[in-house]
Amino acid sequence: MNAVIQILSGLTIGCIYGLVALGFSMIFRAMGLVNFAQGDIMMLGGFLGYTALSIAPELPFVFILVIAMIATGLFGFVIERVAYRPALKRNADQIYLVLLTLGIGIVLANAARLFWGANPVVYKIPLTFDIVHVGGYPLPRVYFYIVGFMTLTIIALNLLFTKTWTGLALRAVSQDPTTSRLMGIDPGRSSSVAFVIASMLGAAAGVLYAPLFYVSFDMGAVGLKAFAAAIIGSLGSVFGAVVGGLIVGLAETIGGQIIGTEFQDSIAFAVMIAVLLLRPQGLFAQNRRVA
Amino acid sequence: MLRNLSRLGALALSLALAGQASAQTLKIGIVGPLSGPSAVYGTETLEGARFALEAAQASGALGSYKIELIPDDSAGNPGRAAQATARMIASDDVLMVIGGSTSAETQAMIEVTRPAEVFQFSPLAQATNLTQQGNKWFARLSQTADAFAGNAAIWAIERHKAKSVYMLVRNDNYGQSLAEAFGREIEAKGIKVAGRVAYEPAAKDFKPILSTMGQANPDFVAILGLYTDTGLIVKQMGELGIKVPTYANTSPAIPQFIEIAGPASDGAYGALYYFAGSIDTAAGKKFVADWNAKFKRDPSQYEGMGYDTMLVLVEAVKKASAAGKVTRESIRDAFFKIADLPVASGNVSILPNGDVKRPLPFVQLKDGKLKLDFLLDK
Repeated sequence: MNAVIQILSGLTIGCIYGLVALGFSMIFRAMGLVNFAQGDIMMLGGFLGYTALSIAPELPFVFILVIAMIATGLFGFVIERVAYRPALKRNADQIYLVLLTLGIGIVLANAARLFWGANPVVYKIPLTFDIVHVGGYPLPRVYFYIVGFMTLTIIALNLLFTKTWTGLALRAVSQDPTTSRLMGIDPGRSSSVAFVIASMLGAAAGVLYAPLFYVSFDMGAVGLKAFAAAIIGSLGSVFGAVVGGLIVGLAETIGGQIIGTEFQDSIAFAVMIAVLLLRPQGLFAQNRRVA
Repeated sequence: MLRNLSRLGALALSLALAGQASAQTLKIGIVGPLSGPSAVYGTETLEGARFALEAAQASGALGSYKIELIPDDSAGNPGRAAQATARMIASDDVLMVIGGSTSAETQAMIEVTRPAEVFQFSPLAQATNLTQQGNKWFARLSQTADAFAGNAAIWAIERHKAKSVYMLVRNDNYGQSLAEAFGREIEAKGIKVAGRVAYEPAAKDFKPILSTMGQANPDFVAILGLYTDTGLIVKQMGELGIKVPTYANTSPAIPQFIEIAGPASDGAYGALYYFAGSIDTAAGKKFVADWNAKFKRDPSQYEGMGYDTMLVLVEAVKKASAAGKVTRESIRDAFFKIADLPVASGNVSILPNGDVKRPLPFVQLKDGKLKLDFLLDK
């Protein structure tokens, strides 16, 4: 019984990592940029969901999720236009860009502390404490929301990348920005779209994470594990981000029990190092992006 | 006309001088977080101290003295606490300083008060090492973290007949020092430690630990950490259906613990600095009644500690005054002579190393409210 609960718990946490890792990959594909603020975008989504819930406590959880995703998506759009795109246009050095994303993450965390306070906040909804018994196993109901949302996200992203012009443009830009520009694709628009989608996925991760634990200004640290997940699955690969997230989630939960929970936080990075030693390009490497 | 005015002026001056002579003002600094995330410690302690001071001045308990409290906000920042203390000593020429609230700011204040030879009395600081520095200018009203955890172990064994205890320990200085004291008492009494697991302070998913714990089948669980972790552990114990009496350190008195743990928090045990209604003495009952008369609610643990801090100070002023003159040195000596003083939280004695001897209330959460489980008075 314990093993089943462990595996399900690991897979669910893995889905959260996977959603944040998807954000890393989306932005990397579109802009060649590692957005280290992605974990803090997740935190922002969690807090925006909390605010929506405080204003309208009767709203169904799904509406809270959608509101937080839209609000955070708008925020992502603004950040991309105001901070990232001008830096990229000026051909800013990678070091500068990494520092920029880290700085934005720190500003976001401190702003959240000022606005929502230093104490963690809890979603006061039945879902936070709801348990369902499936085959005799007690499982938090929110597990099903998380797994369901992840499944829908994979389907939606697959449709986006294969059936829509926007998705095809995103793929083209991810592979060769110069040629795609010559073909009439606006890389700026593509990076905006990627940022909005990544921010929305980050927000979803934050809102879905909240009923499992709580929301706090320092929860952006989850982003580091999600980054490890994105690297494991090959940065830029959508499918790889999801698989990487699941691997990290499972490794943490099962490895934590076997090795010792005080080493739980190191496991994600140990797995990342092991994967990179065996496959430096990650598990699902695609064609390299042409600069 | 001018002559009349000068007579009136002379009269006013002599009255003022007479007033000064009849009530000498003792300036007491009080430093703590009055803003920021830990403001509750400072603001409530100050409120309790002011409440006690008002009553003491009105009753004439201070004799020919009058206390003037000079508060300053540390915002929970040790650097700011030290600066405020230095300013009070240099500019306000304070007799002594009350504070700080957290152990870190208290230590920073000690760095100022000790070389300046100004007595410092902390209402809340718990770090055990604060009174292990051979410092004759510091004492406190709160039990050490060591005493909290050691007494919790005694309470678990004597009150709850624990036979097999599982310890979940926050893997930092605070958690480990609590675990040392708790484990020492448990083992000294020959009780089985079914398991002792350290978890990372940033951990959120405790199910791997709890699964292992469930297999050990303990009859008592002690979580030695902060409310953010104890809350999640208790919540996840509920999710896994683990129903074992659980001591959650000081968390049950913190509202966020109940929010995080949800329904699983019901039945959790904890220890508090002070719990209104736990003291069955005249002083204990009087405080709760007087507080209720003014604020229409029971005092919090921090308000109780602020109140008792002032009662101890008033007693020290009386002792120093009886011994001669109230000076920085005589007030320090008077604090160390406090023995079995009946205050709101029971009878208080200041020990030679600056620690305190007083009762420790253990509480249980029932239907969202704290109830006294046991008052340990050893």
